[in-house]
Order: sequence, then structure tokens, then C-alpha cells
Amino acid sequence: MEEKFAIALSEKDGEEALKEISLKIKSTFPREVKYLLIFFTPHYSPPIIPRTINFTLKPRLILGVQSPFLIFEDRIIEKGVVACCINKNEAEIKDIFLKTPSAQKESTIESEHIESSLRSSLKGLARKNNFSVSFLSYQRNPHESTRALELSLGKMPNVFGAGFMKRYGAKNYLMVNNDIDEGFLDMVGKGLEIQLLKIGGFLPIGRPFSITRALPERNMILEINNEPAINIYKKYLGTKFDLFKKNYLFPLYPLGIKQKDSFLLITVTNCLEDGSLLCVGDIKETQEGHIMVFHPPSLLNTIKEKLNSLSGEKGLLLAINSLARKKILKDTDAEEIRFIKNSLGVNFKVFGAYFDYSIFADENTRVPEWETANLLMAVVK
Amino acid sequence: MNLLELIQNSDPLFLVTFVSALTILFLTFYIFSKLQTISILKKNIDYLNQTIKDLDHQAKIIIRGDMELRLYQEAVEDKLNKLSLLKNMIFSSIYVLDRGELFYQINEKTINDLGFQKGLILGFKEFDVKANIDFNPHELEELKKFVLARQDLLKTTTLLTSDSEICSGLISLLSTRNFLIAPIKARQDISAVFILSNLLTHTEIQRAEKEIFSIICVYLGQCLDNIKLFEELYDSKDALEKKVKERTKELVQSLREIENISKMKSDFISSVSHELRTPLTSVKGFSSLLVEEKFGKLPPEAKQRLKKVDENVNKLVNMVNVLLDISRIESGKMEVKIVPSDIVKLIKDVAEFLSPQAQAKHLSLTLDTPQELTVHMDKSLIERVLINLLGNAIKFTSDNGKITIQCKEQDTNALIVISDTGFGIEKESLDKIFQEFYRVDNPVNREIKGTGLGLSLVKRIISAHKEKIWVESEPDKGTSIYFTLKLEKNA
Repeated sequence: MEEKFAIALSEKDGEEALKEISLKIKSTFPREVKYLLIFFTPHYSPPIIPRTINFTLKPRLILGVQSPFLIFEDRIIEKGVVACCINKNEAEIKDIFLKTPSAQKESTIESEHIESSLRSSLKGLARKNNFSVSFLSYQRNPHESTRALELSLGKMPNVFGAGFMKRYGAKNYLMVNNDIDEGFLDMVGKGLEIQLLKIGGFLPIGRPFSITRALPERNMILEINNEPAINIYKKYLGTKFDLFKKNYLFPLYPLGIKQKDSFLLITVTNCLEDGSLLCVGDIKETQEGHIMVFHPPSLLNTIKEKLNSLSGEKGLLLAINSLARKKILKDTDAEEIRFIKNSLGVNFKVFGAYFDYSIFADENTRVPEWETANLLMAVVK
Repeated sequence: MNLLELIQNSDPLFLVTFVSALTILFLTFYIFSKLQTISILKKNIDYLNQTIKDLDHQAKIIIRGDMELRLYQEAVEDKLNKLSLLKNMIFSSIYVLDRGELFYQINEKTINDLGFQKGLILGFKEFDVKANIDFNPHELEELKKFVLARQDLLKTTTLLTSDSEICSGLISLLSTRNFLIAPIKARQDISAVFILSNLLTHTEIQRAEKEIFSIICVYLGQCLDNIKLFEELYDSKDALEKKVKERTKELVQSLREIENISKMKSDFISSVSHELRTPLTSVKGFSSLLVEEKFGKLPPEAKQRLKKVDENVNKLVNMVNVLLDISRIESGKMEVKIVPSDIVKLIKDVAEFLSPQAQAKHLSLTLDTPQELTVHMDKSLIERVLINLLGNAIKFTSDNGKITIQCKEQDTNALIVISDTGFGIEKESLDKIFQEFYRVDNPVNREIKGTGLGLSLVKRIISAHKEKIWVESEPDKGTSIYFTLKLEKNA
């Protein structure tokens, strides 16, 4: 049976890594390479990537995203380049663009700008296509960008992506062929069977709360249960709250918003003097949620449950992992990746990267939402 | 009569009263049952509230416990990471013997692993920047001023933290309340000052961070000590090598001079010997003819005198010949034809040739040789060696003494030993006996005439064979002279 996907890793320095990657991909696809998605750590200079890749492979399209950590099969890579080649005949990228940031523009104007760009680029595409992938560098407001995606794409499933809240390395580089910059990268395509899965491993604790006042565009929760939002943590931590605050342990206990069969996780990064919480994640007023605690046995159960049906099959798994999750899981982070690979078996190719947040809309939600601390997986066939 | 008829025939007032009573009864029952339900529900609600309260309480316990556990884990991991940093630092710098390379190890990763964003190592005397991670030029200047103003304090302290009052000025400058300053002392003198600033985490500086920072400063000081020691050692080695080179140069110079003098001496001896040989041959010829009275009868006194002259001319001719041979061997002019020959036969021939002289002194001459032993040698030259050595043994052994010539295989060589029970040689003279014209100064030698050239010639012949010759002797016990020749089978 003809191969549809190939993945390759190199941990060599500079151009040598790209040469190794090219040769590995070429050994699977000696004739033609259609689409190449590359994740690379900040150790590599982006301009050498298309230059070196094109020398050997000449793919139709190169997409590149810089990330501080990568995933390759059952490993987490701290320095290297990971490439995935999609050569499925039916696969087709209909539109792709890289919108670089303009420093002068205000955030809201910028958002409108993205939206209008997206609208003109993606007009009518959502109906005919079956997936959209976006990557955002740290200048992009995830709330605004996700809303812009929602408005441009309409109620479309299989919308996923990821972005950064701060810089890792000199820049959060994004790449479309020879265009390399920070900004907003989006592509819409069809011909791939995509199933989006979320792995949590967190348990809700305590009684549910309701977000009663929030400023989503500024990523702030002002009030929970009509009280200053910080009280939710104070209530559970009691006298330990000062220690908790002093050590900035908010990210360890994200807020989980109940969805159909999972929780959308919002990480609290800090609190303000008025008791408001600064968050990373899609906040909406009236949402009900819980404080979440990481629970390793639930994690393993969730992985088993979600990946059981895929075991032994052939395919590709793009893992969009969370840097906040990495901090919470610690050593379990590497175990999780190993467990995922073992659950899928040797025929499933696993690759991915780490981001501050992920964007997600599947058949059930059909509205893109952004969150952190969950592991988002796109199963591609 | 059915119920309808009964109602129709009854008094309406009675009916109203009856229905009202029934309704009141029903409502009473209904209210009572509802009250009971409410009471049960209330109980359930209370129970649920209690359960939720319990769950909340459990949640509090879980979250607090989890938080404490994580804090402990983080503290342990932090300590392990710092120990690992220290271990890596020790491993990577243990063989570093260069200051620049040592400070090169203090890079961004090291500073981050220590838990800080900025780091600086400043030379204590010249304020040169040995390592700088993230401090801007303005901060750098201010830090130099700070160190300069507190040099005396730094000499007496091991660690300054942002809590110290003395450091309060730096808080606004560095825009952080988190910094550490410590001197790096090498041999009790401050070599540099290490500054860490801006904690990566949002917490305060922990004890572990202070401890590890102090340890690293002490370790860097020890490394600097080692480097200094190495430099001193290197310098002294360098000086010694320089001296050795100078002395070697002088010795080479002296050797060249000696070689020149030796060559001049050999040339002189060679030319003088040549010049002497012709007239000597003539003198020898005429003295022999005169002694044989070919030119007529000589008066007995004159004949006696002439005999003496003839004897001395013989000695002189012999001496000149030996000198010429030595000079030829030294200059490489003498052709040495090394071919396989039987050394045993040669020993026997020489022994036989000199046996009359041995017999004259009643010496026992014993040969201890195998039947045959083929060695590589120039037969005529080795014959001269044997004649010289055996001749000396006969000469320097008292009457009735014993001489042994031994020949045996030893590894790849034949070892020839000529031993006597003669007068022996003093220890201090042993290394000089092969020198030209050297004669051991003792009463025996004064009596026994010789030129002091025989052993010198022997040594040169053996050297021309690329073999060894040595002597063992004890005064009044005897002397053994050894020399080796290459066995044919090992050539």
C-alpha cells in the first residue's frame, strides 16, 4: 500500500539537520513531495530551511513553525527539526497566507484587519473544504484571532491550530515557503480525514462556579459567583493562599469549563490587586466551571479511551501540546508521549510541537475556541 | 337510590356543608402529606448540602495537599537541578587550566540554571568583564562603581544579598529585589566578583540558591588557585626547559669543539705518524743492518747500544702503526670486512701463537670454548684484539698465574671473555683504560713497558663492529675483559 505520510527528525546542527531531513523524506518519497510541515527549535536559522529543503526535495509547499520543544514519535526533542510530509493524492491546500504584524496598528484594528484578510481569503472556502490550520505568534491576540476565524470560516469543523503568548528565541518564526516572519499563518484545505481529540487528565474538584464578569478580549476574569475572581482560589486554599500566590502556582490548577465530553481549560497566569484573574483561554461570561487538579490515572485512562479505536491503524498524529501542561505534568509529560505512541502502535506516525495555547473546533462545537493545558491531537488519515 | 338521587333530594345547605367538610379534610391530608414531603426534601437538601460541604472540604484538602506536595517536589527538583549544575560545572572545568576558558563556562545556561536571568563576573582589580549575561552597559558601569566602593567589605564577606542594607542602592538600579553578590577568592585574595540578578521565578531567593551560589564561588576560586599553580609550574618548567636548552646548546658547542679538537688530534697523529713512518722505516732498516754487522764489524759496546736503538725503533714503528690504525678506524678510512668466520679457531690460533710467552711465565692458559662458533667479524682485526687482550693478560699476570679464554653463546651474540689472575685495575681507572695513551698509574705498570694504545685500538675495532666491550677487575684478584660479536645465525 502506498505511503501517504512520512515523518523525519534530525538533531544535527544547522544545514546538516535539514539535509538529513530531506534525505529521510526522499527515501520514502523519491519522486514527488507535496506538502511539508516543519517544526523547528530556535537553534536553527529559518532562512536555511527552505533553501536547504528545496535543494533536495522541491516540495509544492513548505510550512514552518518555530517552537521551543518538539515531539517525534515517543520523544520530546529540545533541539532539532521535525518534518512531516503529506503526499496523499486527494489532499489539497486551497489557500494559505502568512499575515505579518504591523507594529503601529492597535489590537482591535489589527483584529479587524485579520478578519477582513481572512474573510477575503477564505470566502466560500469553508463550505467546500474540510479543515483549517492556524499558527499564531505572540503578537496576535488569541481571542481576537479566534473570533476572526469564527466569523470568516463560519460553523466549520476541523479547525485547529496553536499560538504563543510570549517569545521563545529571537522571534516566533512562521514560514510559508520563502516567506519567513512572525504573524498569523492559516491554511485551508481538503482531502484529509481529520479527527480532533483532546487529552486532559484533570479532575474537577469542589462545587461548580459561574463566571459572572469577564473581559475576554483582555483575557481577564473579573468576577466569579459575583465575587472577585480570586476568591475562588482563596476559598479552597484558605491559609495556604499566600504561599500559593507567592510561588505563582496558579497555572498548576487551571479553570475547567465543562463541555460535552471534556473540559476547556483556562490557565490563570496571575492575579491583580482588585482580585481579577489574568488568563490564557477562551473566557465567556456565564460559563460554568471548576478548579481542575491533574490526576495521572485519569490521564492514562483518557488516552486509552480515546486512542483505543485507532490502535494498530495506519495514520498520522499531529500533537499540539501545551507548555503550561508541560509544567504541570513534569516527568509525566514524557511518559504521556510514550504512552500515546505505544497505544497507537508502530504504524501511526506521531509528531508535533509545544505551544502556549491551542485552537479547536470539531464536529460538535463547530466554533473555534482557544485554550491551554490540554493536549490537542489531530488524527490525520 | 343512587348517589345522584341522594344529592338531589338532600338539603342544599347540608350538601354545601358536607362538601366543604370533605374538601377541608382532603386539603388537610394533602397539606399534611406535602409537609411530610417538604420535610423529607429538606432533610435531603440538608444532606446534599452537607455532602457538597464535605466535597468542598475534601477539595480543599486535595488542593492544599497537592500544592504542598508540588512545592516540596519543586524544592527537591530545584536542589537536584542545582546539584546537577554543580556536578556538570565541576566535570567541565576540572581540567580547565585557562582563566578565559573557566569564565567562558559561566554562560546564559549556567545563570538560568542557577535560577537567575542576569549574571556578571567582574575582575576585582582591573574591573574587566570576565562574563556578562544580559546586563546593559549602564548597569555594568553602576555595578563597577558599586564594587569599587565596597572593596573592603567584599574582602571580609562571603555573600551579599539584596536584603543587605548596603545593597539597597542596587535595588532601584537593577529594578529587582533579587540579586546576589559574592567574591571569588583565589589564595585568600579576591580575584573577581560574581553578581547574579533577576530571579527567573517570581519567588524570593531561597536558601538553596544562596548556598549553591556560595559553593560555585568557592569552587571558581579553587579553580583559579589551580590555574595559578599550573601557571607557576608551567613557568618554572618553562624556565627549566630554557635552562636545559641553554646548557644543551653549550654542551653541543663543547662537544663540537671537542670533536674538532679530536679530529685535529687524529689528523695530527695521522699526519705525524705518516711523516714518521718513512724516516722510521729507513732508520729501522739501517739499524737492523748495523746490528747484523752488514756494514762491518762493530765494537761490542757500539753493538750493544745499536741493539737498544733497534729495539726502540721497533717499538716506535709499532706505536706509529697502532696510531695509524686508530686514526684510520676513527676516520673511517680503514676498510672493515665483516664476514662469517669461526671465532673458536681464531682464539685457538692466537692462544697457540702466544703460548710460548705464557709458558715462559709458567702461566696456565685454559680455553673454555665450544667446538665451533661462527660469528660476523673482520678476522684480521679481531685477531689483533685477541692478541692485544691475551698479550696484556700475559703481561700483567704474575708467574704461575692463570689465564682463561672463554667463548659462549649469549642470546644473539657470542661473548668472549679473557680473564686473568693478574694485578687487577683500580676501580677509578676502569673507565679510562680504553683512552689513548692512558696507563694505570701503579708500580707494576712502571715496570712493564707499554704505549697505552693497545686497549684504545681494541675498543675502536670492537666499535667498528658495532659491538660492546667492557671490563671487570679487582685489584690483586684479576681482570676480565668481555666483548661481544654477532652470531652468524642472528645476523
